[in-house]
Amino acid sequence: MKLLHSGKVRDVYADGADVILVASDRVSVYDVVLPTPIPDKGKILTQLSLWWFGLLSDVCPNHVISADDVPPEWSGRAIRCQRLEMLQVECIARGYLAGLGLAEYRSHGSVSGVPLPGGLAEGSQLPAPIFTPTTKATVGHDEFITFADVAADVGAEVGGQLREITLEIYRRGAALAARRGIIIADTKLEFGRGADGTLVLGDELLTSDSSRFWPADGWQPGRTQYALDKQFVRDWSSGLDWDRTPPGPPIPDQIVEATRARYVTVYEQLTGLSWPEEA
Amino acid sequence: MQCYDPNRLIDEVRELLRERGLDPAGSWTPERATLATGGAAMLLRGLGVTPAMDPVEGVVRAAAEPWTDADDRRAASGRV
Repeated sequence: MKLLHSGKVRDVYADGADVILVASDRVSVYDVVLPTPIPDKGKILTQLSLWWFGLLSDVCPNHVISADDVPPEWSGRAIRCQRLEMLQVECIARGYLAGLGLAEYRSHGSVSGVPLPGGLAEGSQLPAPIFTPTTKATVGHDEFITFADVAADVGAEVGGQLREITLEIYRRGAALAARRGIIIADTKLEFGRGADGTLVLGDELLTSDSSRFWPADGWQPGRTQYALDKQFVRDWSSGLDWDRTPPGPPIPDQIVEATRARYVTVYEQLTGLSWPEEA
Repeated sequence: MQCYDPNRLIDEVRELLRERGLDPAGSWTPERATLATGGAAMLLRGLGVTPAMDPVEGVVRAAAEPWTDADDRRAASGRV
């Protein structure tokens, strides 16, 4: 098995024709990976992603081959996946204003060419979810592009499919989460083509590393929203004499435990399943 | 299905242009990058080839960092 890449929080291995995505327990805050892992974070996010892949498999086929056929040392935190010819579009759905969507709205009153009503604030819910793709250029940086750009890149038909699938997955995921007290403010999806040319959903799905999760009962437009899982780490680190550049500070035990508990809670709240503590 | 990475095509065209004595895009701007990427994808489609990233590069880029980190960083950098 060959290590292809070690990312901030996930590692990618090649195993023959397949790739294996391994989610670590590393956690990042303010864009910096901290030296202290959060036990089980990788397993929890992997299991959550698998749960969503299963639930939403009627919307689009996905790249999951097996969560069991992986080396035992990665059991629970790894997924064996198909190799896909990846489309160079990050497909983002936004239902609320945050992050780059908020910044672009403040600059232009629109996001990815989608006009939005005036008077929206940080954290505001949008009138309807919008598709805000970015391109994955190897030069420069990933940039917002319009739907017309996507259509030029991948063709109008495929572009339309990407938009519809992205928004459908977001709508269904966000609706389910809302019933369970969690706002999914936005999410990023990746698509590729299988060997037969079929559009296939790749990467991870509706985890807190690919989406913003906010507690519904604490939602208040006009301010920065609380991150449902790693807010303990953010709050703790914001009180430190740390300039938010690497290396990050070690996380105290009580913050580690509280953060782990929050990841478990989010998993259980969304899935309705109990997290097996021996996992 | 024939696939080819538009980013790779851009690199190859830049090299070709240099060989012909040109100095293509000495300074990349976001607008130029987006234009070049879109143009390369359209050229490939026009030639009957599906524009897609190399499978390894595609999955590596996707798994490189949490998207939420990237989105916050882009917002903080004011690159819109």
